[in-house]
Amino acid sequence: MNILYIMIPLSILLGGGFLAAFIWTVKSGQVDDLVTPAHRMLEDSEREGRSANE
Amino acid sequence: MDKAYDFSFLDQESFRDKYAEGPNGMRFFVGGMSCSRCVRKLESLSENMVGVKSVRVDLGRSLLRAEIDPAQTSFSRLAKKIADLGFEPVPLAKEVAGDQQKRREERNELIRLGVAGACAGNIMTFSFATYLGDTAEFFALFAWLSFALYLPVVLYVAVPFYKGAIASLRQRRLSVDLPMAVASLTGFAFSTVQLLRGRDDIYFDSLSGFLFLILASRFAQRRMQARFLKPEDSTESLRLSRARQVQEGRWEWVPLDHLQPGHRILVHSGETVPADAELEGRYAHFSLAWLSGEFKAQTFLPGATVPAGARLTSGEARLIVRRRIGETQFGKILEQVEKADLSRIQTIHLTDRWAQRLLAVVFGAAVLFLVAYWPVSSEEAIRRALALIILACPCAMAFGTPLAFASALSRARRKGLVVRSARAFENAAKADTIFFDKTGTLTEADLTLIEEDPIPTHLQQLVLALENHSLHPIAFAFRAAFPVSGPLPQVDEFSEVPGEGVSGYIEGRFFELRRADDSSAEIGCTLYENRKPVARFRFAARLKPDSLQVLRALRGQGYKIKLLSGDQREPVMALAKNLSFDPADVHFGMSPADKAHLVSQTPGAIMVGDGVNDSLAMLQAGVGVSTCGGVEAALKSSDVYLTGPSLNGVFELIRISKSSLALVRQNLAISLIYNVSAGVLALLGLVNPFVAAILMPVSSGFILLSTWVRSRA
Repeated sequence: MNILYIMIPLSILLGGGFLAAFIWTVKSGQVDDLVTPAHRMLEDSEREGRSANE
Repeated sequence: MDKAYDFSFLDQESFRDKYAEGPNGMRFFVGGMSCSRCVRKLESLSENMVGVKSVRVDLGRSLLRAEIDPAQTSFSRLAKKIADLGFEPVPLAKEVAGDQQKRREERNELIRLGVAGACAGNIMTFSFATYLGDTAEFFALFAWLSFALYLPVVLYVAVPFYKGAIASLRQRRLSVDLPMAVASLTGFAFSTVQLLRGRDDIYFDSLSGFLFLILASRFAQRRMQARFLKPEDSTESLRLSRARQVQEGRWEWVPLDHLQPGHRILVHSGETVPADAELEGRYAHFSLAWLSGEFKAQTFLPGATVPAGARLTSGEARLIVRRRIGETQFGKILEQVEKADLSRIQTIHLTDRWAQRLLAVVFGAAVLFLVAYWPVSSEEAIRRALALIILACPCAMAFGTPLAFASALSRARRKGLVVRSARAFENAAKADTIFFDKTGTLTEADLTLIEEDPIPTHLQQLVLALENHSLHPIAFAFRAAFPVSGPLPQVDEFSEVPGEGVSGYIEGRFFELRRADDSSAEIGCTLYENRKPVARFRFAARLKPDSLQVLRALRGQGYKIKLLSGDQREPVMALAKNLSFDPADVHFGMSPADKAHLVSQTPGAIMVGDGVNDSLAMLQAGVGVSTCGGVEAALKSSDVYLTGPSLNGVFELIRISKSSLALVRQNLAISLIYNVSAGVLALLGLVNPFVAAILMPVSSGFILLSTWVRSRA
């Protein structure tokens, strides 16, 4: 069971990492509008070069 | 017709201060965006139009944000381009601090939810390992890990509950936030003490679990509410935010608040007079429909004072401002609506009566038990009383109620209703009286020719020729009714007498169209040839196609239906007879204040209307419903907005409200059963953390299931 001493910190680190990533996406406004990007993607053939963020 | 395309005012400094965000950005509310092609069309403006740096569309909220290079283009050119593409851009006033604050709070709420989910999930893995496995050597480690993971929950996630609880205590009310706050804090304190003493009754898992569930359901409700087009977002309409000021023979747009008494203004046909103002030069016709609900246009002679809110029906009018809009009756109504709008938003979170009772019982029982059991064993008394509060956390009201309303909101949306607060459902389900406004609500907003005998084609052409230059509502009704066949006859010596009619010579004969109202129509007129009457025409605002049907359905369900109108007795009574109203339920000649007074005499009623003249009544009503095409003040003062032309939405609103309230009651019943049984178990001392960890999700599961089953039905 000693493996737990590695696995638990790892799992918490992993979970914390995802949480941090989530918080970053919210703070940077990526989830403010969940409707338009789905449509934008469909019609966006000639604009590959443009970044998704302003 | 250049009205829709005239955006030149956007380039003036006084307007840029109001609208522009940052040095070169502006937001527009854009009507008519519906699909991915629209997104593409608008966003590619940044490539196809010189000087447009970026265009971002938010389809969900019908917003567009653009950034331009002022050296190469201007906001007015951009707005015109958007209009040319077939959309209706309305510039939005720049975000005030309040809007930004709101957006920040929305984001924070999502972050809280994420933190709660992550912590609760991880605590759950540790506690379930403890409950299920032989983890004696890890027990202390797991317990301390749970403690560490609960810290962000108690210190960050639960903060809104503390704030809500304190706010409700200040107002001397019980709210759902109170038990959440008490459970979160006392549960934390108790579990920490037990942890330090090496005991195993630690509730971190159940506490974080239910806080997460409650946050999630509240978030779902709020998202559902926010997804609707918020009328207040789109109300920054141009109609009342600017005026044409005349200086040295030329007019120029100025912001409304720049107007001062003595300024000369110009009003075009179809526009609203932005201040109490004295008419100059020629007579003019104004419709006071938005104020009084009366359809007939009234003629004002030079020197007369035209009230703010009157709409010019034809031509142009020059006026001198006498009183600023804020001091006019119209402006005061708008102001009241504005104020009420703010207070209305604050009342959304207050809890229901049932929930308050349940809360009082749970807390009362816990305190009673604590006092009664204290002599037997003080530790056991605290332990069991706390277990009661934590377990009997009124999940259904904290969780089931927002969930039920979220599902009702989404059903309402599918039926074309924009519901601004979940409270509207509660009030709509309780109401037993419905007030309807006449003009624009039960009837169409425009006049229609009532045809009885077919009119010969040559007469039709004569009438069209006589009315060719008129912008009176009657003229529009004629144009809608009669097809043009070939060139219109020539009219010589044409003259128009205000309030009377038009006349002229056609092919040597003298023709006259004169007003002749009779009791069965709103407006009538007669055509004379060489002073002998040859045809009579009658006009009325036509009933909306399903008015009769909706009224019949509502009467069938036992609702008391009343008709309110600012219009005169005859047209109102004629309409009321067609719709089989009891004369006692018909009120005519009502001023906005009369309407509001009458509605306030019947507490909890539903008021359906569309104009400024209805907005005060809507505020007094339990539920204000504004119909499609209503004006801003009506939208702002209403709780529900019908997006389709059909009045059937009123019927749907009641149906959805009743079923959602039944669901709320069902969820409350489930939670009552759960609360009573869990409470008894807790007081008997049979609850340990393991039992709590199982009971908690089971009750939530039941509520989810019941909500799901009901919302499918």
